[in-house]
Amino acid sequence: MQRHPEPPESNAESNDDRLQAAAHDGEVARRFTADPFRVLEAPSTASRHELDAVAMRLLDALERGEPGVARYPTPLGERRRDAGTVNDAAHALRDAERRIVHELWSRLPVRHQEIAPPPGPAPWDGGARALGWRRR
Amino acid sequence: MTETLVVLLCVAGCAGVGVSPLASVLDCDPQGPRGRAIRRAEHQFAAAVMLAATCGLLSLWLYGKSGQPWWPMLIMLGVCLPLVHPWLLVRGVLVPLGASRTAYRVARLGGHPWFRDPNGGAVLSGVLASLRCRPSDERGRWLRARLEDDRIGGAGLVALGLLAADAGDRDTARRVLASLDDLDPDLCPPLARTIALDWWVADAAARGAWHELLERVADDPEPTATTRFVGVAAGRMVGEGVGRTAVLWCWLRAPRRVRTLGLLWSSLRRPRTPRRAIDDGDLARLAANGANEPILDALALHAEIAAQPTTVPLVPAVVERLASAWDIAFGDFGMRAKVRDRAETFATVASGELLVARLHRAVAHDVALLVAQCGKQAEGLRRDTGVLRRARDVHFEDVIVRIVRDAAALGRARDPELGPAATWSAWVRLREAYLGAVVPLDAGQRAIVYAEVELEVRHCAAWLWNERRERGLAHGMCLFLLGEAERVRDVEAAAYYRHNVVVGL
Repeated sequence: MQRHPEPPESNAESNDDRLQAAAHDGEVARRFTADPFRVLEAPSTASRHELDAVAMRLLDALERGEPGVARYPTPLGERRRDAGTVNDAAHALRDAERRIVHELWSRLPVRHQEIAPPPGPAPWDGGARALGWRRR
Repeated sequence: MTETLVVLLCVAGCAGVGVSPLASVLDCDPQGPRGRAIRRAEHQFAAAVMLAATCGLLSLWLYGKSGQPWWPMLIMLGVCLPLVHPWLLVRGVLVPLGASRTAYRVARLGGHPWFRDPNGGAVLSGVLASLRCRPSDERGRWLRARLEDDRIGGAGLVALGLLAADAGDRDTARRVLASLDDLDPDLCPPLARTIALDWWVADAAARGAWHELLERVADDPEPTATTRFVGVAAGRMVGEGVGRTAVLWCWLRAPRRVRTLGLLWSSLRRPRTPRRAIDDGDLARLAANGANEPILDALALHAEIAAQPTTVPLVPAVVERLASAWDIAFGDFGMRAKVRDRAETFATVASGELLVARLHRAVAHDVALLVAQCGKQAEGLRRDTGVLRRARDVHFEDVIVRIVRDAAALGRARDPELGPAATWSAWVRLREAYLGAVVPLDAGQRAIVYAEVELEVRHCAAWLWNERRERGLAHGMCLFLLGEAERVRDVEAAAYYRHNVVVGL
């Protein structure tokens, strides 16, 4: 369980690469997207032995570059995982006190479809120059 | 002979204007900034009359000699006008040419529009010219050094901000330009304020900070045609109810229409109201309302807010709704019993109640982040119980450390070698951190944060007033401290700063 294999690169699916990692989410959003139960796709009732088995299976699959294994659903849509996030999740759930708190956070249903916030107004590229100001 | 007499009378008249005060001493302090600005305006007016009279006299003399009445007059006016009104030469010739040092020296002759801050206006002229040519650190240092030649006023602050922006430090530039509002209007030429707003608007539009831009332009009493157009376009960009006709009309009235065509097109294409991040169907599925367990309500609301981009300001009501949902969830005996059961199952060292308390702290931490995301609107948070109370405490613990550090930085900036410009930059950094930090705090917490900054700012203001004779900058600091002292009900400090403010500039 202490292995830290490099995430697959050459044979990763292009769709997986486009997915956002939970680490890029805001601090509040990470409560849901980086939740260890979500990362491992394990039920909150799973025993410690079952959680370790799931983590091992995911690490092997990531090492082999199995298609679709690099993505997992969360309440805020799908996110990308790698060996590091899987190890972190397994480590967090070994602490029983932390696990109980995570059990509470993981009670929302997951969704595969990305929640896309309304597209915000884009910055005005070249606005400073258009109004006569130099950008250094 | 009659014409000569008229011209001589003009000369005598303008000499009288120059000597006698136009403004009543009852209206303003002759030694104050307004009195000095009026005095400079009088001198320029007298010089202009003197010039016109001299040119007329010489023209008459030449007319008597050669019989040509107009060309000598025109030539003399062409030569002498820039001496009386140097801004014409600076704006029309030296700034476009990028002759920054010459622009500074010519603008230093004084006159409109820099009556309220002649030295700062001259440096600002040099900076505007400097922006027309290649960036040069050496030129920037030279212009910054010129700021130290006299007291710093509004134009000087704008020059300081533009120099920071040109050196790549745009955060400092934003802060310094925003600090113009702290300065007494008598020390700030209106043109300097206009230039500052123009830069600020261009910067905010280029960053995509449309909400900030909208707020800033709305606060300005006299926006230019350009800033009005960009402000209206920003309103459209953020989904406010601005009609296409209004945007088009403002664009037509503004200059640089070809260059601003891109912004016009982008704003016209934006829909009036933005779509919601999560539609009603999703909300129902996420059990945002009427879930069978209170914690599911709270979690669904938490997820809904978490799905929003962190760059968009939050409405306080949304945060209050979330905090209420969590308060109900934490009061749910069923949830607490489940946690206790799980703690017993795993035989944890911490009790179930302690684990609930940890969850409470985590939620309060998130709510504190959301409160900070509300910005100035966080003042609208009315509830002060449960999770929201805890969130204020968490926020207070986070900010007090940062504020103490920034106050210490201001103390270090009180250095004769650094000069008042560096001190002011440190002060505006502290002020911004302070104002951002205290918005969601209650009166007691605000008083503690105020006490942390007050002593350092007081020393700084006293140093600027006594050692550097920068009364305008010190006055701005005292005005801020007075407002805060009154807000936290520190009667003694308020009386002290009121006296300092009343003493004037």
